Amino acid sequence: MTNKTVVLLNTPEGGKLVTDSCKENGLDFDAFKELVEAQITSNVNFRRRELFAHFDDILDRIKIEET
Amino acid sequence: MYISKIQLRDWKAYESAEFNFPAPIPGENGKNIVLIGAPNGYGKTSLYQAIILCMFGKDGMPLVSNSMFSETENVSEQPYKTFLEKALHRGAIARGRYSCSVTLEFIGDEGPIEISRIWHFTESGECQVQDEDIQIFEGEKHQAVGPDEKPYPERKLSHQERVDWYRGYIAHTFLPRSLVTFFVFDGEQVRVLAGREMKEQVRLGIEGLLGIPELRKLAKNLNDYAEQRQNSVPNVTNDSANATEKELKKLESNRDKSVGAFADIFPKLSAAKKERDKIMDELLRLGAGAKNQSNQQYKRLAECETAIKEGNERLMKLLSEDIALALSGAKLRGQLKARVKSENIRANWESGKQQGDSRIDNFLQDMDQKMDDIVPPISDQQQGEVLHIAHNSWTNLWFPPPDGCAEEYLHEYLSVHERNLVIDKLNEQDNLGAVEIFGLLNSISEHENRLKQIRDEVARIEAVEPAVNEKRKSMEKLDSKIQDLGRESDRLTRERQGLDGQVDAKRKELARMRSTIDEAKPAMRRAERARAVATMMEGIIDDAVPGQIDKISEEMTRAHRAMAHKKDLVQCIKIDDAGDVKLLDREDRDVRNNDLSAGE
Repeated sequence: MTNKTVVLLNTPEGGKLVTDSCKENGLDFDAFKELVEAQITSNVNFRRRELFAHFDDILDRIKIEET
Repeated sequence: MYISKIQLRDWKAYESAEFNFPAPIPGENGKNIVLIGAPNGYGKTSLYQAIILCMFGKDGMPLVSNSMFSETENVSEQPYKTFLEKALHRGAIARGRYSCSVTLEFIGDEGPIEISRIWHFTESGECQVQDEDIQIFEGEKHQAVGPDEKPYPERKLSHQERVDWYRGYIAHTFLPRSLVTFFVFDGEQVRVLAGREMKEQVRLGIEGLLGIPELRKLAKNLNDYAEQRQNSVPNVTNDSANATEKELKKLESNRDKSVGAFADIFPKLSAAKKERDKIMDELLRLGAGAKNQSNQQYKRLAECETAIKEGNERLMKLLSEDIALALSGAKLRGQLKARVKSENIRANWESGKQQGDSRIDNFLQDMDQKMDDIVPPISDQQQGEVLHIAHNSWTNLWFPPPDGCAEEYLHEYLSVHERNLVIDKLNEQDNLGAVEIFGLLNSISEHENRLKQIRDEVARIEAVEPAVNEKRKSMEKLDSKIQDLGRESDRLTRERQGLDGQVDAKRKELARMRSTIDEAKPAMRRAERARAVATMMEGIIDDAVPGQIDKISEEMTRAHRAMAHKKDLVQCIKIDDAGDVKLLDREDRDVRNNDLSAGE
């Protein structure tokens, strides 16, 4: 669903842009997609509280270069 | 996915109608373009409005009524209600039908999807917007889909929550409303769209195609999330903890200074006390206490002098008054005392005898009278004889004189009292002897010796007095210095105790802050990460459209060629980063500046 909704991720240029950005920031690409997925899903099933709980879960797991 | 069917019931001029559309031609990537043509007044716009409102409900109002709303404007309920009341087929109410509906059927990769929206009205034709009904069915089995009620079993979802769910479903399954303009429009709108400054819409459209709005929402939600998580923890930052630590260090520094100052004073105080003790010892060695001691010696000196003086006076008195009698000897003093005593006995005997003689006549007279009363009466002679006998008896009472009575007076000039004083004086002389005199002389001698000693001592003290005074002054100075140092020492001790308390309290405060920060770290870490991701996402959003522009331009050129009836007019479509679109001919001129027909 993520790739269908955020078509950017499905294009070669967009995919490279996002991958490079993630790499530059030390963020795992799958985690990025997970965040996008949470956002898209929240449009249908979740409310803000559930979305934020989902963010908690993802952000606790991800590794990102602390600046 | 393509639209396969539209069903209308009591919608505008359509009492009941069904329109079927063909599947895309194979070989065209499963995509098609549906064009609906008919003469004016045949209901093309009504059909278009039905599609828009079925899919987007109230959100679609700006698209179906260009004169009333901008495309991005939020629509209030009243215009929607008014529009629907006009949209209800004119004969519906009269025929007892109080609703109208639109049903769209799409064929997707995973089977058919059917969307029906039903609007209800009162008998007077008033639209009940709140009762609007949406039904979505998926698949060959016609499976109904809708918002999941399970997360909230304790209550029913509100109308708005349901509307939100369907909005999300339509956006993700078909199109978000913001992109509809580019995919569904009627002939009237083409001219409007073509004539518009589309820069912003094109950019928004491209962003929509790429799913950028979702990334924007995600970035915003991540920032909101970061703020909420940050606000959920106590407002203790590393900065405030560092500030507290700085205060602690300052307090510790002040305390160290105080301790250092105390350490400096302590040896000075000890040395001063030691020096004072030394001077005290010296003063004692100098016979000190000195002034008090001198006073005591002067007092003793006076006592000795008094004692010597009194001793001498006593001696002189003895020598001048009593020494002659003393020297007469005890024998002579005994004879004199016996003589004087015998004369006193005589004096007392004579005195008693004289008293009796003076009263003998009264006695005899009284006796004579009382003898007259004797029965039987006695004769006068007898009476005379009795009186004579009585007189003789009375006289015989005083003879012989008492023992020790002097025969005569040698010291007739003395009274009885004076003779007694003589006897007492002679008795004193009996006690006065060599012992008393030698004792008196010894006492005088001892006091004289003592007097000499005291005088020597006083002279010695007076001789060392200047040195003592000097020492005393030094000691006074030292006392003053010790007092000053003692006060400073006390002040520093109190100051240090106060600072100890402050340091302790500040340490605890800092520990609490560090603990709070530690506890807040997970939330703060999440917030920081969320912000980092949001920032990264904003960068992606900024770069996304420019990175896709060329490809989209190519696709638009291809689509234009597929649709335009003058295919050679536009050689290519170019879009710049701002979304400005140019339809370029062979000479690279933007044909949009020409006077184009609707078809063009």
